[in-house]
Amino acid sequence: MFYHIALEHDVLLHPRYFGPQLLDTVKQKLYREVEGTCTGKYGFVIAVTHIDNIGCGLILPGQGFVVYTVKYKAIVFRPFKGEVLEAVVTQLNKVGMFAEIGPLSCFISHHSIPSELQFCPNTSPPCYKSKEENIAIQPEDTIRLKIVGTRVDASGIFAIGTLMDDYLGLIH
Amino acid sequence: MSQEKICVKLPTTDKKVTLLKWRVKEGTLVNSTVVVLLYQENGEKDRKSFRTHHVGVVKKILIHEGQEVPAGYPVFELEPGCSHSTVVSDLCADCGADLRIDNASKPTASVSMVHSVPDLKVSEQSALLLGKADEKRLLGDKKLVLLVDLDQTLIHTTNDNIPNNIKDIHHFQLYGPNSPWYHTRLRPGTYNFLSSISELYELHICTFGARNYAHTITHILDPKGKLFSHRVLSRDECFNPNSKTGNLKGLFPCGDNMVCIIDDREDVWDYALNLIHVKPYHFFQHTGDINAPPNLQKNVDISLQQDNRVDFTHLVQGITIKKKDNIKGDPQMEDGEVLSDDDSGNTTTDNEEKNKNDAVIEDNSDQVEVEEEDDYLLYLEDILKNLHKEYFKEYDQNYELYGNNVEVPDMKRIIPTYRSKILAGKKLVFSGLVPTPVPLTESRAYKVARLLGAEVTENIKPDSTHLVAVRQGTLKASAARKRPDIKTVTPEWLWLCAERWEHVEERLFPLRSEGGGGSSSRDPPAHCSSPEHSPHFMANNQNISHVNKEQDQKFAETLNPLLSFSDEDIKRMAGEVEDMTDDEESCDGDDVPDIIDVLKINKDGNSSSEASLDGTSRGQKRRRSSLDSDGSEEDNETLNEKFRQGKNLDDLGVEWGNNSENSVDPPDEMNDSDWGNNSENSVDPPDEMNDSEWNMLGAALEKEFLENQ
Repeated sequence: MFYHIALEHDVLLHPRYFGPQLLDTVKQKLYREVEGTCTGKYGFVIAVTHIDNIGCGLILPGQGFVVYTVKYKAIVFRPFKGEVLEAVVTQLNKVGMFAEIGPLSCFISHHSIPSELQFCPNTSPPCYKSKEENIAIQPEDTIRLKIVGTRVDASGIFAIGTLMDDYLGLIH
Repeated sequence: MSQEKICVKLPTTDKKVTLLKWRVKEGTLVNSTVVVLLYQENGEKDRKSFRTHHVGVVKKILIHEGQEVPAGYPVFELEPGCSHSTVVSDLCADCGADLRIDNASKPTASVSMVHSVPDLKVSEQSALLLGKADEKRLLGDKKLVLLVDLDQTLIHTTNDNIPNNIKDIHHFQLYGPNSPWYHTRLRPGTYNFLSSISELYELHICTFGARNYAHTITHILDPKGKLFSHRVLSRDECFNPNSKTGNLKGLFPCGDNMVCIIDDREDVWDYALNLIHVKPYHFFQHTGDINAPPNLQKNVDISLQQDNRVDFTHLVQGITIKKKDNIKGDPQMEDGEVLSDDDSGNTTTDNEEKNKNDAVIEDNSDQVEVEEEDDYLLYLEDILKNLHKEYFKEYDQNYELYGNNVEVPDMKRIIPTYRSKILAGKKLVFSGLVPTPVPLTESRAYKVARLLGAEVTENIKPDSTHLVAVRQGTLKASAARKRPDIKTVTPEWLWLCAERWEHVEERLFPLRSEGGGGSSSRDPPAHCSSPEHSPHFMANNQNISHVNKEQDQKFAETLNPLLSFSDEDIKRMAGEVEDMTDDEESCDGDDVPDIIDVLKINKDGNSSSEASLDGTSRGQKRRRSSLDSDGSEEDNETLNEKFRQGKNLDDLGVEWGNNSENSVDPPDEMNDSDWGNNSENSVDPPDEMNDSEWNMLGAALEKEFLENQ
């Protein structure tokens, strides 16, 4: 699920940036350090939308580095159990398939793929297809899946999905 | 984990309901996301779907489709709990439970079945099911499995300085712009080999290269992903850094009956019977297998390795002077196995290094084409096709006899049987091949011949067919000359039979008079056989039962050795590591005599590396020309060959440095014929030893010196 939330981040700046462009540098550094990262609590930071406040810089004694506490708003993506999402298939094998939901990678076990879809390794690229061959899931295809579990680390999230529910599967 | 069964009821309503359709079967795992069945309340139109909030396996379905269910009546039995049979990085892929949480039940998943994702594990039962499905599919397609090694089997890669104007060499960097360059040459005919063999075999890559390297090479070999798909097993996924067999049981949980392996070394496969030991492919001189497992140095005799390889140091030197920006090499050469002579490195100055990166893209116009005579893949293709034919001949026979419960034939039996038919019925006699103190049955030549199915006798018998002799004039040789039915051949005939797995025409290897005698090698090249292999064959039946026994062991233990280690084991292993690190220095010292020995051998035998390079080796040349005459390459002297023979390369369209320049040090091997005339000004004493030997001598001396300190 996507959230637009207020977050905080400490930007540590080298003294060589002290000058007229100082605050711009702080913003640039914030974008660079925050966008695309993942925290276990809030999920993936997709984009910083607004910088609310750049606190007063605190010079660290003995080093000369300055710390700015930046308050900003960002769009974050946090997957939850039970959520239905659209994903792009990356790899298929006999045990299941891997898919990516933006920055989140997700695995769907063959137990969680409807039994009418069978793995077919002989095609190139390999795919899961039904006997009538009207449905075939290949790499790069978009599927709709439901998340059944997530593993949240301090620095990343991994998800397990399923296709065994109504309206899940290949999106045409 | 398995508790009492739960009888699941439909949500209670006053009315009766009709069960419309089951969406699951007995044995299916259900959780809160799975729709178990569709039902309809009597008197209402809309269908309702039913999910259970339990996680578990459907044990028994109690109500059939279309049947009416009284209110509060159970519809199916459920065994609660998930066995976590598929696990991806500590997350159960069936129920989504996080297995790192302490109270989670222990997963049964232990088999990593997918080459490229070792994190993905499945339980033994699912592995067996999947393996069975694979086997069935392969049999249906009439395909076998072929595990393909990369380094020195299909390709040869070096980190040396290689000019970028040589055709058919792929250059790449793996770890960013400042990392070492890799230069890869594909074995001649690789593309044809792979595409034709992929119709009969499902191809898998099994290499000791790093994952990055393996995938880069795979992309070169198979840009469209048609041949290998994701079936790439690299060092990163190997359980054991010195052996490739560990992963086999995971990849093929039903056993490796349908697996055939091609590799240039047998030790990493524990001398498996289903291995075809291929002739190692050497293209770049001074470089062995850059991805060889640590502590497992290959003991192939050096003279053999070098006779087919191209020494690019000359090319590098020549071009550095004339066309500076054509050079693209890496200044930081990897040490270890790469025994490059440093001269080429020194001539590349800093100035040129800057140009290197620019040079990568530019001119492909005047490329030097280096041709080689390596046509081994053609023979390998034939071997594999024949094995495939043999395998399915037997399978079809069994199928007719037993029908569907047919047991699949075992490649580990088919391959030795096929090989033993090659020279079946031939009765060989050796002359001068086996040293006197060695009993005939212990000699390597004997084992090679036995592997090929030939019989070997001590002396000439009335029914002998071949005499394999090293030189003329022995008692047996003269006796054989009186017998027109006995064909007298050099040992190379036998080695070539073993290399190509076919009966080679004897007339190509006539025994000449004394002169070339020394060039015949008494020992088979390493790829023809290994002494360890033969006992397997001799005790064939015993061995098969041994293999079976191994498979009968507890599956989990055989699958992933790490699972079955006790704490004690691990402690002991840690101790071993310490011992090894302590021992290292003394090991280094032991190597020194070996190197000196090798040097001696090189100097004694005519077949030493520099002899073959400068074209003075009559023995080698004779053999090569005799080889050529059987193929289509008659008189087709390639650039490479001319180059080796020291012909004037100006004639060959290669622009070389100004030879009169004093700074040019023509390589030592090149000082006969035209080269010598051109480089009059350069002072360069004729020298028999080439650079690598000097380097090795130097290394040996250095080690000795260090040791004495």
